[in-house]
Amino acid sequence: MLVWLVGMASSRLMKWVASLTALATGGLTLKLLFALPVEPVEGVFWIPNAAVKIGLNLTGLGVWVAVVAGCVGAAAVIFSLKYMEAEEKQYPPTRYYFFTMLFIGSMIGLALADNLIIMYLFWELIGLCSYFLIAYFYMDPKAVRSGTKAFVVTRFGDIGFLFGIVVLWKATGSTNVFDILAMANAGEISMLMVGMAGAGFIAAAVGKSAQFPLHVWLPDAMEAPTTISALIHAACLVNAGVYLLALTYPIFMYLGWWAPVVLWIGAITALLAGVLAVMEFDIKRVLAYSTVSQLGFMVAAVGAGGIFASQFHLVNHAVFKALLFLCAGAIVHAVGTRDLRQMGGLGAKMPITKVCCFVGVAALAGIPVLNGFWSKDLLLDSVMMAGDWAAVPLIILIVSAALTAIYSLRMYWMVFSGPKAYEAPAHDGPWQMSVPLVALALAALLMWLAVGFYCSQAIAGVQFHIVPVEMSLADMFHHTVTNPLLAVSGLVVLIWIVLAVSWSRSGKVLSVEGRGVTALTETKFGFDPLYQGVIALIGGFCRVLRRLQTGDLNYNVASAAVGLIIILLLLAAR
Amino acid sequence: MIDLVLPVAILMAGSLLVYVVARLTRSKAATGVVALILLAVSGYIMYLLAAPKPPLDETAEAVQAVPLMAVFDLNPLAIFLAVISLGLTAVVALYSIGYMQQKNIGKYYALLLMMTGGMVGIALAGDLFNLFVMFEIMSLASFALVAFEDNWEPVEAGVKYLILSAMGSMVALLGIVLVFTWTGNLHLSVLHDSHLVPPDLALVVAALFVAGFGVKAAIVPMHTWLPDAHSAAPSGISAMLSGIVISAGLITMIKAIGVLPGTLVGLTLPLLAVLTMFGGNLMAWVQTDLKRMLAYSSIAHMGYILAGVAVAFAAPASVGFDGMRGGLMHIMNHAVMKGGAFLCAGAIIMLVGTRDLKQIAGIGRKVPLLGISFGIFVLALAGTPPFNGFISKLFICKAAIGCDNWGWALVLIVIINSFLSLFYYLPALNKVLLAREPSEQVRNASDQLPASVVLAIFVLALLTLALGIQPDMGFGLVDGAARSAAALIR
Repeated sequence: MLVWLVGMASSRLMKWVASLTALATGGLTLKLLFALPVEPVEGVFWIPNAAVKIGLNLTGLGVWVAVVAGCVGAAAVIFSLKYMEAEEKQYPPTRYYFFTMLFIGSMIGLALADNLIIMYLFWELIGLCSYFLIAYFYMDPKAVRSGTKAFVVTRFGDIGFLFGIVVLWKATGSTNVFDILAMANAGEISMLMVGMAGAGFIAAAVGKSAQFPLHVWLPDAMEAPTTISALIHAACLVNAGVYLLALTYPIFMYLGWWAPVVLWIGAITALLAGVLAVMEFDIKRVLAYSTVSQLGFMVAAVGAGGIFASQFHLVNHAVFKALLFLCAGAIVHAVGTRDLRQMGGLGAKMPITKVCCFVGVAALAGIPVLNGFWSKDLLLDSVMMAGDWAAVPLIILIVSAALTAIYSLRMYWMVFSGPKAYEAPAHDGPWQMSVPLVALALAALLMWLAVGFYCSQAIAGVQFHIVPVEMSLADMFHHTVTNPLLAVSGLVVLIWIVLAVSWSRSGKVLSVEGRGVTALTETKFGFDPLYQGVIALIGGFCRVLRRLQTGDLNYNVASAAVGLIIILLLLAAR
Repeated sequence: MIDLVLPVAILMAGSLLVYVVARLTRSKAATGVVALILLAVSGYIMYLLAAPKPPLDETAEAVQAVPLMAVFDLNPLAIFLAVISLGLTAVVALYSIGYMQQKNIGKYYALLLMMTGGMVGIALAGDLFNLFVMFEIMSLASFALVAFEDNWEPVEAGVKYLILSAMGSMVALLGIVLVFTWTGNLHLSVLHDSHLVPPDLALVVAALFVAGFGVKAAIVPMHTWLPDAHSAAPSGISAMLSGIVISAGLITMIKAIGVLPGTLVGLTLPLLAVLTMFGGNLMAWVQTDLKRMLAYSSIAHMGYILAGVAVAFAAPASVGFDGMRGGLMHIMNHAVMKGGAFLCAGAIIMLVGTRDLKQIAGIGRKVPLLGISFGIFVLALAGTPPFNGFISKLFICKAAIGCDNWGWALVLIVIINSFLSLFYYLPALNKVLLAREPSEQVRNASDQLPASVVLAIFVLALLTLALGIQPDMGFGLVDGAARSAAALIR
């Protein structure tokens, strides 16, 4: 049951211990999945004096997130065995495996916790792990800066999370998610409290899932080792925000403004990140923006009430994005650069990677019949069903879907087909790298077949969410084929054909260049300088403040005297 | 009742003994061990005194109310302060065996024990007169300790500290005098129960107490002595000053204000708390000196503690206990983590010979144990789970949200400040642990630390983690203290 304990306890032993534990953890989470539905587990007291209990959340929502973390985590750890070998002389592998295991363990803990405080604890732990893992190459000042940035920006969102927790604690007297859900469902919490907490939770999710306007940290986090990027993007960290919103959706459902705000944030993020991805030349940053964009889709779906579509997409996205990152890892490993312009024509040299990458890209773009297609369709459908107020975001999302098609093919083209730019020998990775690739590619190809299973397991134990009727494979198929949104997928396919034809004719690939564009991608639509400005402003204020501390005794005594007067005045004014 | 004097008396007499031992043996280790034994004896007596009654018992030992007679009073709040100050002193005494290089080590331990004796005295004092005397004993010892090294900087800092503290003491003494002239009584619980001080006078006296004892508690704007003193003192003493002495100042204030129940409601203390939090965090932002940065962060943490206490004062009926619990818990956690951080800073100074953040780059890589412990302390200070700082901040927030009108604003400010503090903790951590390459000084530095230094740091790091993962360990101590402190101000 306490799968996450396994992940935590393994800590920093030898590598094979780490990988075995990772596999075991992945296996255990899967076992948990088949064990659903489970009777609720009575929690144990953690802080008896404050009546804080730890229990397990064994509902479908949480378990699926845990499964993703466990399985993708296992794949990433095995991939690391070979991938990180070259770095081990310079950087200690102990630290790498310690934090990686802690990372996976904490994410599973977050997904399975039924208590907001415990959730916050794990929530911060994954932030902390990401800080150390992104800054893993500490010799590179950029890596350290990115790690710090990731931690600080997500902590900024956490201001809201902690605030929300405390408000809900006061409002309900409990920190148990299900107690709070039950009370919210019964309408026992004052709307003011719910509103404050709702705003806080949005901030938290925006920070953690790199949504607009706190999207700035994720692209920079690409300084991490590629395996860690895969973990961050697919398994741990960024999913946490979407999961939090999905889990707590029923609490805030009745707030008039909450769902539209979430929907709009998601839609804007999806569009912005899509635009940035088209303009980017660093293979890992393209993938980073695509993650931001896909997370935007998921967040938007939560806003529209499509919890299950969003979580289904989360699972599918985890699979194909992990696949893509590991492909990118294999490519970078072989080529030694991350710049797309210096690649090209690698297809012949790396056939396995090429095929796997194609599957991943197609799933990302939503080409039928890969897994990404089904979930994206369900997702857009849920937005469409949300009502008239969701019309504009729906259009934005459809445009973003088209952008997804463009940047995904563009990336693939520049690496594997394209003009032959890369001459030096390159080859597929060793088996430690290939096996996870092929496994994930197969999953991306076939896992939509299991939608019935997904659905039945996902609604297990869920009481307060609007539960769709159980959906079988045939249902989904029927639903999708008869849906007008099928046109979106048609559009995507059309874009692919047109682009492929025109690029192979001209031998050139779409590349948007220019100083303005570079500036835009560098600053992520100007948000980086904005934040830096704010920080510099506060720093300047601090420097002014510092002058107050003159070190002159006269001033010191005067200030204490002023203190006395202030206190007297305050008391007198009372 | 006289037996209650014993723990204090042992420490006071012990300080003489330690000095003699140091002169006779001329051995740092022997002196340190004797000091540790004395601390243990004092602690054991405290334990014996507390044992017959369960520590959660609210009824303090009944004492005769005789004006101008020394009254000692053992309640859970006293046990709380005594345990923390004895415990931290023990760690610091251990640390100092390896850390202190001076010849006159006897004076050092004598003063250290005297300071701790003062704090235990504050804890046990049952009347305003003794409270003040013990407070002054603690202060006097700390002046001398700040100026312990024969350089200009510590001496200047010590004098500054002396003058400001003396001013604070005078202000507080004025308050005590006013109370005595009006009521002819100094007994804390008698005054508390009888409401002898008229409301208007109580207002003035409360202001005098807050401002007077607030100097020691480093409440902004009475904090100006702290950065100098805490950074110039020997690191063990910085750990004591930041970890417990300023908190002892605050507890003195709480006990003194206890004679004027119901006076200090309203926004006074919350506003001071906000000022203190922002003041500490923003000033720490621009520091380049490791110990100075930690010193400013102590001011910020005093702000968090004060926020909890302020909530208890502002709305004693509903959230008095919650607020006190958050505040006192943070006192305990702060003693552990800030004490540890200063001890780490001391160890870094020992190895590298500088406090400049730029010049200590990469020391955590060279001495991994030191680096990891420093990381634990700094992250705990920044309020990151799973370390103890998070737990107490959470409980401060939980208490504050219970205040109906402005509680949510205070919560938000506490959390925002916690976020702001990342902007100086993380760069420091990056410098120590993740520096690109070690600085010149670090490359030349040795990586050997004395065993006692390592042990002291290790104990505190372990406590930081343990109190974070299993906070229940601390609640037994804190809950009783919070209950009696909340009763004190109601």
